[in-house]
Amino acid sequence: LLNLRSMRARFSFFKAFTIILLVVAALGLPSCQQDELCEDLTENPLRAGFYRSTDDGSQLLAVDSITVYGLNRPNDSIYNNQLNVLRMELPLDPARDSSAFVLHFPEATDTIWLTYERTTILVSVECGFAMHFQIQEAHYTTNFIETLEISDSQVINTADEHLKIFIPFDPPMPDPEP
Amino acid sequence: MSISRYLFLLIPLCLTLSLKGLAAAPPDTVWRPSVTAGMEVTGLGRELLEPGSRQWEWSLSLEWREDWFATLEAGILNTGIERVTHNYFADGWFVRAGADYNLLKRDEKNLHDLVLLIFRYGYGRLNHESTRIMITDPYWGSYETALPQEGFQAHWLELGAGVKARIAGPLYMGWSIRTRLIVNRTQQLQMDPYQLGGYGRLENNPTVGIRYSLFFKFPV
Repeated sequence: LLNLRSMRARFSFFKAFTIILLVVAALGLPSCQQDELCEDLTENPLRAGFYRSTDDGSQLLAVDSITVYGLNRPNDSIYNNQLNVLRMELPLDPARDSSAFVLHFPEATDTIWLTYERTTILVSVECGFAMHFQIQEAHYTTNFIETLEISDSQVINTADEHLKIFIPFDPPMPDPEP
Repeated sequence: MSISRYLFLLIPLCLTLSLKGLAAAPPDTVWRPSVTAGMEVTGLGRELLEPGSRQWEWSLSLEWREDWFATLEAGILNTGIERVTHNYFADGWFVRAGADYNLLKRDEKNLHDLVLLIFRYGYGRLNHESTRIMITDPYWGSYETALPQEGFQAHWLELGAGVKARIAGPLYMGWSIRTRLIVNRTQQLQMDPYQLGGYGRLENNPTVGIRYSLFFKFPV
């Protein structure tokens, strides 16, 4: 008899538990309206870090100052004389399969050309669409930059770093003006 | 979010384990085949979660031998989004076929409560398109494009657990948690569909989904 009562009590709990889950779900639905406001990231910039080569790999290195702008857009800076920069975010052009950036260091100026494949994605109802990029190639001048490495070719909505830009640890002094 | 999903997955497992031990030497009952029709009610709330999305899903289940249920589920999912910067339309359907196994031994006091292990094979297809896509970049400016209509299909497997309890007479309600894994899908696409009916958001594979259903058991 005790066993039956115990079983009955536990089955009542079982049914009550199911009902509670339904009620909680019903009450929770309005508070879960994630699409009412856009809270997702729709911009997916390329992230590049500055490094120096070491015997056992690489080490992050801050550049004293840098100015960055899109090629042929010198009056529209992405970074304007920014000091002590370890990493930077570069917006890739969503309308084209390539973007180019001019990096103006105190010592010299370099240009980076990036080619990529684009994929349109629907982020959410309210946020709308965003572009994901797959880096194909990177070309660059070597006035100040030593070398450049694609560490992650997928430029999507993550905080990953995509480019490693290697620069001299002990920057050479600029040539004296004649 | 993902942690809470997996916590939810523990609930049916704990229930399953705790209830399995309840059936200590129950008296035998006469078993008869039965047919149950169901409607998934989570789809009704989908419009609150995903404005512009509407999913309807029905099921038919036959208990062909004691504790074994052959189940067929089918439904549709329509998405229609219209905003200033974008629109998106998708129409699709899906079917799932598989079996449920009742872990809860029945006795004369509890003939109508079930704790189920769920196995499914799923197939879904849809057509989607967008005639207005605007992507705004603060540096490069706005980019406008469109997605011509394209088709998509996928096959997936489901494994899950659930409970079903009688409300009154032939009316039952139940919920289940299922893990879904896509095993084959259309690859060459201009854009992945926003979601696939019967599966959910495609960016997650595997994914976990919770379903609430109402059932009507036909007397046989």
